[in-house]
Amino acid sequence: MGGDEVRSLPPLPTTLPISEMRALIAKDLSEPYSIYVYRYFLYQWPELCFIAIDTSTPDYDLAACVICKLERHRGGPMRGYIAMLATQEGYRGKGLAKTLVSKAIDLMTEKDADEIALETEETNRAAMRLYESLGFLRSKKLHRYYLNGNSAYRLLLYLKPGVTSIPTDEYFDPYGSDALPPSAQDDSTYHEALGNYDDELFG
Amino acid sequence: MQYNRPARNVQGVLMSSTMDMTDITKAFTEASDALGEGELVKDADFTLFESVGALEIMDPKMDSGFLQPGETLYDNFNVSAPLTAEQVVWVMDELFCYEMAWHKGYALLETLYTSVHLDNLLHQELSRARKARKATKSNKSAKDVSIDDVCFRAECETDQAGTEPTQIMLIHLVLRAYCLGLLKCCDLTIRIITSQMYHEEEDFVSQTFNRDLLSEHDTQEIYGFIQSAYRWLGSTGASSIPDKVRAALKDRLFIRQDFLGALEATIPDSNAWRPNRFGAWRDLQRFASDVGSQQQIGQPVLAAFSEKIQRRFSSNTPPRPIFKLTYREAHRDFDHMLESIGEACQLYELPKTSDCALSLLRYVWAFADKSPATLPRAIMQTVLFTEGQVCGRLDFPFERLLRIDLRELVLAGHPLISKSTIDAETSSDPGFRLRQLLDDFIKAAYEPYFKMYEALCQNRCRIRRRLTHIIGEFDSLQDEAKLIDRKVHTITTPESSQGRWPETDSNYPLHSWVSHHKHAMTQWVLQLGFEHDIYEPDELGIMYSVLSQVQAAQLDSNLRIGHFAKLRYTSVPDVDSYERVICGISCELNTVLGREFAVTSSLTGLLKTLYGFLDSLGTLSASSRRYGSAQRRFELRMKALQGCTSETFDFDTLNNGLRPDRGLVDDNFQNWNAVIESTLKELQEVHENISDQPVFRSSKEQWKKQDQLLLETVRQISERFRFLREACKDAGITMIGEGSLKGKVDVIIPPPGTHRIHDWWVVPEVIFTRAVNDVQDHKHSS
Repeated sequence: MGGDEVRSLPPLPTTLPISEMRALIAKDLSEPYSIYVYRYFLYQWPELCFIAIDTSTPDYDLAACVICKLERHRGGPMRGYIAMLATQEGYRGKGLAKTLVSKAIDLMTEKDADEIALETEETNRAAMRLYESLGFLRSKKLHRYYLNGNSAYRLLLYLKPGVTSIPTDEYFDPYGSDALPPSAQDDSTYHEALGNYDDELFG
Repeated sequence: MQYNRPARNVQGVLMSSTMDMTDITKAFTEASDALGEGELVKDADFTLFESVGALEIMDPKMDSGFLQPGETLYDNFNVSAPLTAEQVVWVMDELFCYEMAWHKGYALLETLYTSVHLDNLLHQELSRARKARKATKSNKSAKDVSIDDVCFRAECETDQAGTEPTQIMLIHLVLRAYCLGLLKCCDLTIRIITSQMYHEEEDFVSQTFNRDLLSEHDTQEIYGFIQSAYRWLGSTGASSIPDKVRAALKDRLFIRQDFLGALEATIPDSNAWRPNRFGAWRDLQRFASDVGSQQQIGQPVLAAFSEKIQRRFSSNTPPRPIFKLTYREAHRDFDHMLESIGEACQLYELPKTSDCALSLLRYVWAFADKSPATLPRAIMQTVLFTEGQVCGRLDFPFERLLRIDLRELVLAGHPLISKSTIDAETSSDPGFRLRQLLDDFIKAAYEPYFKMYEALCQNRCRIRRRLTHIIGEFDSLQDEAKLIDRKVHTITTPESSQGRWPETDSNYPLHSWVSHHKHAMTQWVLQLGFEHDIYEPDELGIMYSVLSQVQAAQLDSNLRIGHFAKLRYTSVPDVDSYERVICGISCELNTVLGREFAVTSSLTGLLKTLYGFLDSLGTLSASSRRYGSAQRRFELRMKALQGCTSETFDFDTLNNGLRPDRGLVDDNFQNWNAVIESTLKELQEVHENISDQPVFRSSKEQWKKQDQLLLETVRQISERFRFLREACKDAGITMIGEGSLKGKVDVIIPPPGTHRIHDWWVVPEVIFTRAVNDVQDHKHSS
């Protein structure tokens, strides 16, 4: 794909092709996220959204995208979170997702992230291979995490030593959890978990 | 995109004299026009959760009330319309499938609430309840608004003049009775589950979406309906129905009635007469299993279920896809559920199990090992935690279980529970002070101990997550235990009795007890990690090393506990006394535990060696990872064990310990073979020559099964070593650390489930690389 380009978009959200991104992510989705979910990420962390476009097409077709956030996790470690990742069908198997995620990790590292988290469906071997090749580990399994009844794994990557000893605001929590699950963690599969709480967050 | 909305006089529509309203449309439009595209206006409390919860109106995927042009909100299915007997059987079976899907964790909206018949009954119940409330308010008799009102009513009554009486009875008596029974079963299920610890959405959705599942009606009333329907099916009025179909209808009513009865008897706070609960569930399982294996004879009435019904419910979630199991799957789940409930209720029949805390814990683990559904897990909690009635025994508070646990593990023959301590009356009596100290400890230990049992009644993922928290609580308790132990020590070791405990300095019974449970839980957390398949192939060796370290600590603590148990046993002067018996049991229990720890420790050691060896042969090296480091990843792994502060897990030490000793490959194999042989022998003997004390009796069957699995695992490990020996010979590798099997041999980690003998013991498959290619070629060509 000599014509592909990976671009970090300028922070102005007006330039993000939100509807294309939304269409790409929602493709395999039985219940789509409202526009607010996209706005939530793109307005607050536009720099952590990376897209790959095919410059060989007249309309610069969207080939892949990743949407992330970065904030302090319960007053403790600075946690990056990879919320959604998708690659258009014809562009799969070319390492686009890996490149985009790497870009996001690099920027999060630069922005002083201590750790990066995400969730993926337990049957989604491709996503796990991708993230594990980047250094993520499955830290725990989440029973029936998605509305379709499938379980998930939480994947974590520590970027600095001593992350486990950074105190958080709440009750001792040996894992830490973002608990909010809008993960589109793969090129092919994407699932949602509306209203799925985590005991670690809600006591 | 612009929408042209019809102009509407908002004030005209909504204003009333009691309201003071301002039309903000103009201000709102102006303000939003001033925003740039994509700009988000939110307060600090607007989280990702809120944004995920937002719905877009007029989007058919999100707005459940959205109708396509020409679409109606209702399907035109008349609930009073006649159905054939075969069709009624089909409707019942469909309802059953949806009910099981609900038990699996799907919401009522996407399962049972798709039934037009149930929807109709629930609607009638809603108006009945409304009428009843009105009647009560106006002090009128509520007699006329009984459950008789909860019947099928079509939107517009159809002329049933030409309908056969049999068909009318099939709908209005048989199907109605079945539906009422089903709704009541759901009501009781919700009551049982929500009375215990479970996770909403994850395990079970208890939401009824503002419908009342006959909660105000007594089970007996519903029974009455089911029985009349059953009687009618046996009468001449139903003689036109073919025998086979009639029998099928009767079977379904029968199962419904028994399910209802068994649930009613299991309700934690019900005053209902409780016949043999275990028997009730077991009989139901037998019968349901028979019915489930019969051929299906129903004839579909597809229109009796509609996806549209959920649109009329107020819900903050988008329309959900309907989830359904097949009839076979539903019966399989039901069977599994009933079996687990039977196991939980069997504790009512096995009072001796709760006489031994260790047996009970083992029993609960065996129950949890089969991943029971939410209802059985809630029933197990009811059996264990009903106030003052552990396992249905009168006057048996949960605290007593904790005291039994302490006694059998560390306190038998100890002054803390001696008769003189129990009888001490005056505060000057040292026994009085001892009793206070033990009470202090019980008070502190009660909650973490309770939580440990409660955790085992959660789903498998939650067990691991909860235990990581509880380990921390036991860790904190350990300091307190030590403090109390010291105080006890100063009271119990006056000059005169110093000779009795020559090593009192290391005799900290309460501390040892906490340590025992903490180490046990730490092992479970690690083992569940293997079961949940969270470790990568190149981590398995080090994770078994960590497990091995915890087991060594456990064994060490067991030896100490056992040593003092023996000392106390031999120091009981009266060989026929009760105290001597109690001490004898404690000694034997600790001996059995010691043997179990030793044998599992050997097994862990073997796996550690196997993975270490595979690594030294270059067959486990993972592809490079772009970010992080091995240390960081290990740090992440150890987060789950962070609560266990008494252990330090050092990456370098553990990692170095994995490497096999340098030297001849053949010498190492000989050593490993010797370990395999001794482990097999240990396993054959671990539960031999155990006395027939009632406390051991209930565990014997489980031991047998468990030991068999472990034996097979060791044999499998032995095969792997044999294979590697041959492979090394073929490749000319004679010295450890010299030469690699990379590219010659492939290591495959079997996934949990059916591919492992035991999910906790991951024995890798080792095959020649050529064979992998052959397998792939074969797959390709086929």
